[in-house]
Order: sequence, then structure tokens, then C-alpha cells
Amino acid sequence: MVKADVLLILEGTYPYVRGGVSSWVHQLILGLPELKFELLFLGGHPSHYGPIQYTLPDNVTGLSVHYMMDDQDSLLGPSSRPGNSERFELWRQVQDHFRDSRQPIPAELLKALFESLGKSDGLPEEDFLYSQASWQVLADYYLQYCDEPSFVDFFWAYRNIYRPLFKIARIARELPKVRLLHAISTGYAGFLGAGASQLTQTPFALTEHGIYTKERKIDLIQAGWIKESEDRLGPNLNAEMGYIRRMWIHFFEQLGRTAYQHASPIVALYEGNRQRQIRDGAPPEQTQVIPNGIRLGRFAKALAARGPEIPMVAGLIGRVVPIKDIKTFIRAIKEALPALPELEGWIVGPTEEDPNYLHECQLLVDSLDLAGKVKFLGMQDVSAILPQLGVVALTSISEAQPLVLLEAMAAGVPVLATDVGSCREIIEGLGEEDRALGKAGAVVSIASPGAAARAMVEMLTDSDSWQAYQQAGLKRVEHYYDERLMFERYQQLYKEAMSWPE
Amino acid sequence: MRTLWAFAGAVVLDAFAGWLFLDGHATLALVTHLLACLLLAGTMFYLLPVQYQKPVAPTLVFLFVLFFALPGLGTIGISAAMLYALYRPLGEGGMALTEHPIPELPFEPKALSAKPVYSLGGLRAILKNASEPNKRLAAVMATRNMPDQEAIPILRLALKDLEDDVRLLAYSLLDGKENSINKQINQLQTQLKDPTQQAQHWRFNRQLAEKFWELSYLGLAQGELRQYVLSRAAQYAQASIEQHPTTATEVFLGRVYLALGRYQEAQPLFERAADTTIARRHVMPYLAEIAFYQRRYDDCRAHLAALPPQANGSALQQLREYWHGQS
Repeated sequence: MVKADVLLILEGTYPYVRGGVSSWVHQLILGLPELKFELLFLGGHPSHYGPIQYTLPDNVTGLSVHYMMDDQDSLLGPSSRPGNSERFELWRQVQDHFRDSRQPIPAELLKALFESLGKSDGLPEEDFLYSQASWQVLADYYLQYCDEPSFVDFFWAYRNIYRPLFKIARIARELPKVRLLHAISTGYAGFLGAGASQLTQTPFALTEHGIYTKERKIDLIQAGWIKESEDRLGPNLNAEMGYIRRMWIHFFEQLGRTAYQHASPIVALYEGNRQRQIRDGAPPEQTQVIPNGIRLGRFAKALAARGPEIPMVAGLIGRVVPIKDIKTFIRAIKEALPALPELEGWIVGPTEEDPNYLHECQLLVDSLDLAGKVKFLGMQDVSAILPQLGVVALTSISEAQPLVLLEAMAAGVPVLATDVGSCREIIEGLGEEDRALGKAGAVVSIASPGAAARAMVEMLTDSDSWQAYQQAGLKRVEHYYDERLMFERYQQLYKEAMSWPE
Repeated sequence: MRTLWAFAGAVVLDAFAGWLFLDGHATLALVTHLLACLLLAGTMFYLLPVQYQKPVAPTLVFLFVLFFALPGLGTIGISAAMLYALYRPLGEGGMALTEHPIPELPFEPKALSAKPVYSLGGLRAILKNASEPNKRLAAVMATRNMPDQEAIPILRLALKDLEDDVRLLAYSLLDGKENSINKQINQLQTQLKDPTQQAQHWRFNRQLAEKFWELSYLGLAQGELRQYVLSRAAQYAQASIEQHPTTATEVFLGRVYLALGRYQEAQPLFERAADTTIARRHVMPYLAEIAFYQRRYDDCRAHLAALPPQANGSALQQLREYWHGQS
């Protein structure tokens, strides 16, 4: 008995986190009412998430929630056991693929892994944690490959890295029967999709908004919780990372590579990300681009509500998190003020995701004497805010295809964005025909408050240019970014994927 | 307990053997001594520390021979000495031993030559010219081991990289450096508000001025922001001088004014410092710089002439030679 048409596998997003990918998922479910969606949410720890942020649409058949670091799991008491050495041979093979992530885990091995992990007649989690056989594999790994001195650090890293796989395999075995698995990122979600697809012979599709592996890698390179032995042989400019850090990175690389290997199709939001997926192991023939779209009608009112004057307000619409580089926006306002004293900067978006970063931003506002000039407005109705803005600025250091730019353009607001993701395509156009529509705003380098300030001042003070940006933006969203185009393409994608012989 | 009774029995039996011997019953005495020694050897065996009980047969034979050869009180003495010695080995106190910790070595030898060791210029060249993104990423990674002042220009260059990974890493490294300075600023500002630390306020003002200066000096604040952080540095330095004037703070304020282009305010501060011999050679180049910007070239030459010779090849020495060459 098939429970739903599509099982959406969501890691750390919908329905618990607002904005970005979550908005897109909500939009997709609402836009395809003829399909039934089952939701599976994977999170880090229950304490990281609050209540559900969206009203689940009627075509959602159910939501199951799983956490990788559940306190309940830690109650598993230690007890020594011999473990089955033969079964650990399978583990050795899998682990080799994680250690050297250049080749994806082959289908047979992946299937065997998902069939066996966490089962009493396979490879029980207790055996992984406490058995002599497991210890032998771990010790061999350390002696053979790890070039860092601390065995204790290695031991805990090894456990923390691989333990979630037991949970993933258990979840995969208990999935409801559906016609298509669709993961909205690689990482644990993509790996779960790949494994479940092998177990149940259900087709598996993958859509990536950002590039998960890349973002994880940057986080891990910076992570202070990974201990690294100091190089005491002098200040050489050595670029090597510690083994444990590399071990974590290889793990996520392999999760991504395996997801790519077993997914069809693999969707990116724009060409740049499709190329990146191919470089990271996605078979080119399985990849395709489906850009995001927006409901134009929703912003027609905002367009009509605009007054004759250009408001001297620059708005940043987005979550207050480091990747959005809110600080550059704040600095840009400071830099623009001498030329445009009446300018205000509004930051519109949820602030609860990273309280430390919010605090840093507020400190920066204080230390730059910008109180009253830069305002944190929190969550707002975007279509009500847009008519009050003269320019929408997006100073992110990484983006895929930001909906907020499209929404601003649809509401007749020129945009200013950093040269990341598909921002340039959105603002300046991609093909010849698209480019001929003109620019909808300005593109600047990342972390350049000076350049952003100059662009802001130019856009807000030159009325003719402002009008031209507005017209180009309106035409571009209408031609290329209507959500109906996106729905049609997903409808087609689902139809083709679900037509696999059962 | 049973062992002790056996031991006591053996001693009594041996004493009895001694009495027999003295009484002229030599053969009987020998047999009794032999029995006593067998009993004693067996008993002693059980009293020995476990690690000395092996091998069993030779140990038993050894004990028996020892007791047999030392009749009478000898058995008691040897038993007591042996047990005491074996259970209470000598401590280390009286021994002339020195403990040396094992020298700490890398887990395995590091083949330094096999790893990329970059130079500063090399890193820039890699960022500008290397087509392989991982090489550029490695160049950014290498800045983690560099002083901030050298790392930051390279990181700023990496911010322009076309590859997301390179840009993101450079950004997060830069952000980390800036965050750490901003946190210190915040902390010092909190301390400055604390009236119980009034006596230290001049010091906090001075440190705050240095932190704002650092933001500009390291290139973390540019354009209008640079002007802003420098003016904050000047305010705090001024406050510090008002509370507790020192030549060092005055020279520092002079440098801030110089960076802000406020030459007329900088000049008297440097001149005052030049009156003290210690600071003289430090401030002459700044005075020369002010004179240069104000187009007083003769003064510029004079200030550089007053500067003692510098290390050969240093930028200041080259400047000095240039101006002297003109005279």
C-alpha cells in the first residue's frame, strides 16, 4: 500500500526553520496539489529546533522527525562483547570508502550496509560501540592511517562520525512505501535517500539549493571543536589540516558522492551549481537545472502600493546568519551615510537562528553609531515591506538562487547583490535575449562595504537609472522566473521518475 | 593463621633438635632438624610473595637447603630477613638516580621537505595564477600560520576568488580575526563603564584606542569605516592622555592623527616626544612624513638627517640615503 507519491527527505529545514529552502519546499507542495507528499525531517538535536513554523498543506500525508544526536541514544549502557569479526569485514569495506572518498560506495555494498547496520543479526550498534571486533577495526585504522598522536581524539571522532549511520539505516528500513524518494540536499538526507532507494528499489531524486558538501567543508575547516596538534617545528606556512579534520571532511564528501551516484535526476538551481555537482561526482547525464520561481500575482499589490518617491531605505531581507554577511550591509550603510544622510538600513528576517551572530551585528551597529539608522525588524510580511524600500540589498557570501531578489524585482524594487550563486544571472540576465532586457540592479564583490555603498547611493539618487532597473527587473521575473514554469518542470520530473517499473 | 602455627611448630621442632644434639643424641637430632627444615621450607614457601613462588620445586629446594645449613636460631633470623626483604624492597630515596622525562617527539617524523612550505609572495602567486581551486584553497589555509598583518592582505585577495570555497574560507578567517578584536573592544568598553575601576580607566582608554587602531592597521576597516575607527582611536587615546599622560600614548595619538591626515595636530605631539632622547629616533620619521605632506621638504631632509643610521637595506635606511643623496 503506497502511502504517498513523494517522500521529501529534509535535513534541518522545513517545517522547523523559516525562509530559504523551507519556503521553497512549502511552495512546491502547495504548487502540486494533485500529488501527495510524505515528509521526513532529519535534525541535529531536538533543542536546536522550536515548534513547526508552517501549516502543513492538505496534500501532506504525514511528518516523521528524527534527530542524529538524540539524548535517548546515549542511554545505551556499555557492556563488553566479542562481536562478529566476519560482519565487521563489511564495516571495514564501508569505512575504507569513507576514508578515501574518491569513489562512491557501490550499490551492492550500500544495500548490504543498510540491510545490516543496527540489526541484531547484522551489525548491532552495541557491537560497533563495545565489541572487541569493532575495537580491532578501529585500532587497525588508527595505526595504519592516522598520523595524529592522540588516540583519544581519534577514538571519539571515529565514534561520532560513524554512529549516525546506524540511525540512518534504521530510518531507511522503516520508511513508508512511496513512489519516489526526493532529498532536498546531500549530507545525511541524500545518503538516506540513496540507501533507502537501494533497499526498496524506489526511485530517488535529489534537489540541491546550495552545495551541502561545500558548506560543511568550510564549517569543518573552521571548527574549533576539532582538536589539532600544534606544529612545534617552527612557523612554516604549512597548509595541511589535521587528520581528524580531514576525516570529517572525507565523511561528508562520501555522503555527497554516494547520494549523487544513486540519484536520478540531480537538480541544481543554476548552471554554476550543476557544474559543481559534476565536479563533486554527479554523473553529468543525470543532472539538470530547474530555476526557482515566484508567484508574480502575490507581488502585484506591492508594486501597485509604491509611492512616486524613491524611499531612501535599503533593505536586507534574509535570516540573520553569518552566511548572509549582515555586517557588510551594516558597514555599507555607514559608508553611504556621508553621501546620503537620510538613508536607513532595514534588516528584515528571522533573528533566532544564530543569537550570537545577531548580538555581534547589534554590537557593530552600536560601535558604528548607527542606532536609529540600521533597524532589525524581525519577521515581516515581505510584500508589505517591499513598497517601503528603495533598494533590496543582499550581501551574502554564498547563495544559490535567492528568491528574495526575484520577489523584490517582482515588486518593482531594484536590487543590489554580491557576486555569488546565480545573483549575477538574476540581475544582469543569462543568455543574449535575457541580457537584452537590461540590468535590474547592481552586482558587487563580497565583503566590500565601500562598493556596496557606492552602488546604493548611485541607485537611490539617480532616478532614471532606478526606473530602468525597475523595468528590467519586472520583465525578467515575468519571462524567466514565474513559479508556474518551475511547477511544470517538477511535475514532469516527478512523472518521469515515478514511471520507473515497480 | 594455620601457616603461622606451622611456622611456630617448625621453630619449636628445630629448637628440640638443638637440645637433642646438645644432649648427645646426634642422629636423632639430625632427623628432627631435617623434619623441622622440611616443615619450615613448606611454611616459608606459602609466606613468600607470590611472584617469588615460581618455579615451585627449585624454590622449595632452595629454602630447604638454606634452613638445613643454618640450624637453630639461624632459621628464625633468615626467615625474618628474607620475608622483610622480599615484602619491603628498598625505596628509591637513598639511591643516586635521576629521573629524566622521555623527550617529546612528533608521533612520526615530519617530512617537512615533502610538504608545501610557502613563502608570502608564493601564496599571492598561487591565489592569482593557480588554476586548480584546491591549490588556492591550500594557499588560504596556509595563512592560518601567519601573523595577522601578513595574512589579512592575502585573505582580502582571496575574497575576490571565483571559487566559492576559497572565498568562503577567506571570509570566515577574516571574520574570525575581526570578531576577536570587536569582542575585546566590547569587553574594554564594559570595563570602562565600571566606576569601581576608575583608577584603571586611562589604561582601558589606551587599550581601546589600540584596538580601534588595529582594525585600521590590519586593513580590516577601509574607506569611510577606516576614518571612523581611526577617529574613535583618537578619541580614546586623547581620553587616556587626559587621565594619565605618557610619551608613548602621545606618540600613538600622533600616529593616529597622521593616519587621519590631521598633520597639524600630530606635529606637536611628535615634537614633544622628540625632546625626550628615548623617543627621538622613533618619531623623526613621522616628523619627516608630516613635513613631506606639508611640502616642507627642507624640514623633511633635516628630520631624516637627525635619524641615526638604520640597518642596511631597511626601507628607512633607503629613504634616508635617498634624501641625503639629494643634499
